[in-house]
Amino acid sequence: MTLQTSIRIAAALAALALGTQLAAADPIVIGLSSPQTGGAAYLGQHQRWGAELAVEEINAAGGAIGQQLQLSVQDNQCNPTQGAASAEQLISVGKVSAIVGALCSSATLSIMPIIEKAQIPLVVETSTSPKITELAGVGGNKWTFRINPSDQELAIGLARYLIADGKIKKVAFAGEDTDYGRGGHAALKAVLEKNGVKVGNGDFFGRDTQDFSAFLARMGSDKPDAIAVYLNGADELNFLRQYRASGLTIPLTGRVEFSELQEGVVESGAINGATSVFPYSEQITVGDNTAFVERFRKKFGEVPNAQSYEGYTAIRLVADAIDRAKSAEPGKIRDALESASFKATLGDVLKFDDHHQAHPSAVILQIENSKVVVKGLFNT
Amino acid sequence: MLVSTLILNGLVMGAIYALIGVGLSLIFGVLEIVNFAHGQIYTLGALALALLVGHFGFGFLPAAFVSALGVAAFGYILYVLFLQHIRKGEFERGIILTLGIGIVVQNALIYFYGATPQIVDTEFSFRDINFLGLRVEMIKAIAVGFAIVSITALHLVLTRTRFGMAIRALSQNREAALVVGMRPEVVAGHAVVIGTALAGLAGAVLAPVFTVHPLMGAPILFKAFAIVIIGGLGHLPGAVVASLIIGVSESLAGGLGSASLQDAAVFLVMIAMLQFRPMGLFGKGVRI
Repeated sequence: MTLQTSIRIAAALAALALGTQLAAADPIVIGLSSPQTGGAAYLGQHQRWGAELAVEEINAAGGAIGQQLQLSVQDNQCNPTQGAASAEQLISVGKVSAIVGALCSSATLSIMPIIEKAQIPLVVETSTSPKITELAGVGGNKWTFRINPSDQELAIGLARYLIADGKIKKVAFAGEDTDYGRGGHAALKAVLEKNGVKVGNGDFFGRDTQDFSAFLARMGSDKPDAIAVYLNGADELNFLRQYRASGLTIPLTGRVEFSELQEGVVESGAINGATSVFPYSEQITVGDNTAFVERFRKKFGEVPNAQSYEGYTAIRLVADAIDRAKSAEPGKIRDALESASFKATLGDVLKFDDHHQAHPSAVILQIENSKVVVKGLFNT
Repeated sequence: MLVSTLILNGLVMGAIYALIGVGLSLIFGVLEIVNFAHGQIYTLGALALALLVGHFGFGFLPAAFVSALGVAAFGYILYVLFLQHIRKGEFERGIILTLGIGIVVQNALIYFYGATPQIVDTEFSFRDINFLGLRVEMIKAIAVGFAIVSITALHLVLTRTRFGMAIRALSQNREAALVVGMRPEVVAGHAVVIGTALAGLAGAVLAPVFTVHPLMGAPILFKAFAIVIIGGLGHLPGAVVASLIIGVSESLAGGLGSASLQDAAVFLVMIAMLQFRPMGLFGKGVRI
């Protein structure tokens, strides 16, 4: 072998080795469709933070199948049009292996047909509209999986609690004018009315509503036993702020979030007696939640809420599916998700039923003496 | 009782809408620019107050005053850098430019401030006063006080001073104003400063009433446009009357009807106005 040949072989080997190394360094891209602007931007920010923390931890531990994960985020503005656009962008430009999202039910429902056509798995982590479960899995969209409980399941848990309490006979409803608010109203009405509790027709507010004073004045005159609230983000905070100022003492219920954002309202005592059903609370001490809360707080300076927890869990679940599939190919990730048995931070094991709906536990929270009290976990 | 509460609530909100509507109307009257960045200017006022009260320990009244001044200074910079270069007849350019400024300001605020909504508590929050047997939040009553004082002051300036006459002259006939030796760029600069200061003041006084976040200006902008159209483009007393009509219609629609009707009320009034009085309540062309 001449020196020249040796050099050629060495160069070829080096190129091959470098090529392999480059291929190994190619990250696996996971898409996140999230409201980064608009009234739900605060929730989107937390969802993104949760996902970013998961990606960082997975990568620090060596990634999935030895490859690093990369998060590609697209803004869906919490609306169906931008939701669809965000999915198109993630699929065609981002070349994602899977998508997590889209936080808002209306955006998720608009994404579902797109990912089905493109054959990219979608892990829904926060949207609660019961329609998503109806459309996913057997006889429907085989590429959509949901890890959080639907409003129907949450409503059943909350209704059981309210009925056992026995004080509530007439409930007024203030919801977001979206699939979330309307789905929540339908689910709560169906369960409560079966048990003799009357639920009003509901008031549905467009997103970014600022003034709730007219509705609250009417509540002061109607005097229902409780007001079920299905708003979110800045709108919910606005509602709570004005509820506090209105001096009303009608207990709130529904899906009121008692996270760090609402701390001032909770501490003021204005919403004492309020009950809420949520898939997550940072106050839960089961599983590894305390450590998770600490890691999250350290990185972002705020405590996690339901959106951050679910964003975190969804990315971890996808990474687990990639590991078990030994591939980042979308079809294989989908198959692996179908057979998932993933232990989440709260200790629940996430498995999907034939409608691709997981059944994690949810929590009933109540405000007692200006403090959030966990009244119990229940299985959805 | 419910109806009186709703009417009073509506008048209170209407008075605050007037601050935004009058500023928008003034800028249109003088520059013939439809200021699509007005909502973000209102947001700046609210964020400035949140910062001054929350982080620097200002009282509500001085914080509202300083916020309005700060926003006015920002308005002047906008005028010097961008708005004064728009020539007569460049209507579309004005729209696109202000729309762009609004988007940049909004995203800059998200970048620096984050999207987290915030509640601003002041020394007047969660206290009530009794007005003719009806309960009114003190912070809203103070906001109405600000609106009445500043709009009355503006009216006096426009009708009783040379400075105000110059603004009115320019809005009524730009060419004639030039002929008599007025400098339109100076007068227009003053109008922008006043208009943005009023929007900033509206944001500041509403900060303790609503939650504060960088995206809070977008929904109120459309309401402000409706007010300006109903009142008559560029007509200040018209904007005030339209604001009160909108405030009361919204409140009655939401309180006696439903939330959806409340949202629709402002635009139903606007459509009716365009159908029966296309120039608005007081519109006779552009005048102040």
